[in-house]
Amino acid sequence: MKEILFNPYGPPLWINIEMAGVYLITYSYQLWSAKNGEPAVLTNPLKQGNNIIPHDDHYPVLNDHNPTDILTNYPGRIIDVRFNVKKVEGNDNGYVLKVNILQGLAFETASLLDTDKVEGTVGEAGFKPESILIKLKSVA
Amino acid sequence: MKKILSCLIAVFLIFTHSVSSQNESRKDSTENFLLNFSVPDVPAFKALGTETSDISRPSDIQKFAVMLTPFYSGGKAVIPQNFAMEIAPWKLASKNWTLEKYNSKCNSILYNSGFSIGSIRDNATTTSKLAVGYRFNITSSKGDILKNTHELAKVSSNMQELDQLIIELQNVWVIDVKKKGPTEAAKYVTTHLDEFLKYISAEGSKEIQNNTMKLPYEKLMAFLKIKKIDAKKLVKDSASYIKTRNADIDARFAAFKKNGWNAGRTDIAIAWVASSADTLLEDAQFSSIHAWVTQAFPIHKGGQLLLGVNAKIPRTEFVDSIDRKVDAAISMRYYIGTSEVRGFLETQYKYQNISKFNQTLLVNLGAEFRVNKKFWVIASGGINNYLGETKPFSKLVSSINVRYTFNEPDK
Repeated sequence: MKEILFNPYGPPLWINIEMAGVYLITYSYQLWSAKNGEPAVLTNPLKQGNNIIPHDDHYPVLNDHNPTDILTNYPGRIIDVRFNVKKVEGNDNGYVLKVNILQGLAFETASLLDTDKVEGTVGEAGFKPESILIKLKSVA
Repeated sequence: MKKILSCLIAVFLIFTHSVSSQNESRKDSTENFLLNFSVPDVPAFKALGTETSDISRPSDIQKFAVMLTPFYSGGKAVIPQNFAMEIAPWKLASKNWTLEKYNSKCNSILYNSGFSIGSIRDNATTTSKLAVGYRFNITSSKGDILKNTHELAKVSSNMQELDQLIIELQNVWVIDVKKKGPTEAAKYVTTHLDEFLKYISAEGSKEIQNNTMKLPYEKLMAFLKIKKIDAKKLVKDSASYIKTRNADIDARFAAFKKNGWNAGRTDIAIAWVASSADTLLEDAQFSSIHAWVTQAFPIHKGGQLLLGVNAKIPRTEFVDSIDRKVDAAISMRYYIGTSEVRGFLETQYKYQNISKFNQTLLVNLGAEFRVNKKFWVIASGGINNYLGETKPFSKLVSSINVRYTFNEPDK
């Protein structure tokens, strides 16, 4: 699990999901809590998307149960993105799945903190689940 | 000329070698031979004139294809010394493409285009010919699922709905049953799929009736029932889970593929041919340039009409330049059948720039059928009528071809 450093006293965090490869790809994103005493999964509802319809696959990294939750509570929280990759036509030339973590007041102006990625082919099975887990860590 | 040929062969060999090396490093990919729902014609081979028919069959371009023909021709069994290979470089480089990129500008045309090289040797005269070709196709969204965002969106919506139900159930399992803390839970879930599936299989499902998993479990089972997904197979183990999910999506694509084999499409190809007096292509000289345009029209549910034009500009006999006269063929082929097996009736008028037998009218009957997933067999027989003679005559023609493609070399 990759750890990504962020400024807990800075602006909001954003997640951006990129899917490359000529496949049918879907994803589900959820944010996990870092401590007991609060809901284990902080995203509600589950955030989902795919690579078919052009749209912005980015979300603010938020505690949906408490949208005013301050960023100093975020260290240790885990970003969990699960993908399903399905081969659509005869070729299996490979895919690249990326999760970018950014920090800024708006997504368009946010600075990229770091990226984690997974790549591969689906092989004979024709279908492959993939996942990327990122642990948020304070720079302070 | 010789230098140009040497360079072309060298570039092709380097390219195929790099493809092979790249694939060797991808040990997880085990896809072997696969041909999509139409039969490819490789322009470099077509240009060598190994077949009576000059129509270029609109088809999917594979990233790497090999073609051997004929095994049987003109009433005689022959050893297939002729070969052709086709490579689609944009398919090979598509790892970093998004579906959005595929569907923008001319990218789908680039993706569905390929370069080919072919050779033929005449045993009687020991002359050899080498051809280099390029083809591309333009396919409607009925024939290209990657362009059919409506169809893909329907399938992905189904996938996401199932994902959501599985994730909800996994979350309850890892927190309430496995008693994992939130920081441990995410990793545990993604690395213990088999354990989760075992728990919700028949044995575990009894326990579920008395714990917090009951409601999300029932929601999942109800969904599987509605969508006709085999719940027992889905939860058996991780391998079966992947297989079942893949089969479910394939079943949703099946109707599209079944109905799309005869979709409207345009195939355009060109090829350049050189000939040489020996097998090493020593003293190779320009021989001809070929071009094909074929338009496919869907005719009711199980039929397809192909209209094709082929033009050939041959080299003049004594001067190293092209002839002003053009050989040409106009073809019409009607298919009837399914994505797996179909018959065809064909007619072709051909005018050749030669002093004798310069006009022919071909009438052909044939069939194409798939032998498991690896091979296609194309057989045809008919009459070629030589027109414009003082005493017109006819000849019987027949051919059997076997075609296959390597989507990934065998591991």
